[in-house]
Amino acid sequence: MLRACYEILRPGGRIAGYAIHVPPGLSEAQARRAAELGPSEVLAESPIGDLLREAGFRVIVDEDVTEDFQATCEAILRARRDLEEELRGEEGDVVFEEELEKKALTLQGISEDLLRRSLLVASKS
Amino acid sequence: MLGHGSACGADHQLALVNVGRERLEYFREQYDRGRSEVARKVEQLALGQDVGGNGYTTVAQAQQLSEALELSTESLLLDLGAGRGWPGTYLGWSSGCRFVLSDLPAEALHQALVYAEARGVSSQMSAVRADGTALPFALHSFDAVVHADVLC
Repeated sequence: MLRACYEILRPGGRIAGYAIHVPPGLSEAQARRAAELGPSEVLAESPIGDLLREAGFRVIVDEDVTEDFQATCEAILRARRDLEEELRGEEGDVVFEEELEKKALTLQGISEDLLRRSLLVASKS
Repeated sequence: MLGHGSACGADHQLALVNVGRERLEYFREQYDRGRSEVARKVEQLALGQDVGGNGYTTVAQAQQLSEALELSTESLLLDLGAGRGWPGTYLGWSSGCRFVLSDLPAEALHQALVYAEARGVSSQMSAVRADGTALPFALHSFDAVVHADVLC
């Protein structure tokens, strides 16, 4: 995906975004635990900065924003609980419960330092 | 391709490749529900904003992305895995740049178009249904790429 981005960018163009990822150096058991707790589609095995460099980019910013990630996740969870009645009516009980569980698991992953979120900015030389 | 804007030098070929059926169905279910009034309330209550956002990227963080990408009215931006258009549509609105939203579920891109029209930026926007690993655009066609929690 990053290599494809590199190719479509003009020289000097930039890529920026947020990525949820696991910390480096997890044991196999920790990696399995992270996969259970994390959002299903966003776990990278290598640090995102390394993946950007491998794709040819020069990394300008690699900043851990896990604290903000946790605060946002907690705020969404609180809001969903506060609006439980309306959400159950809109989504149905099954989806409501699933969404609540997903957010709770993500928070658990953050608290166990198995899930992090980073801002990454890189340029194409 | 959906939307009113020119795709700005990009190859317009629609592409849907390397996509597992199960994965596509998952995203379809996510977006079929549409953006309800109560979803807007959740965003307002949780993040103090109502900008069609979803996921974990706040307006302040979107603004940080805009500055990092040095967006201007001359820029052409690709939002990769754009879903309903967050944060790409916001970046187009705040910077005046032209932007292309790219994702798999057509349902989400249609909702993004509706939202872009409501914000008055649909003339700056194009939308292309495509997989991020096989982007159907010409080499060197974009000034910037933005993504939010889609890398894997």
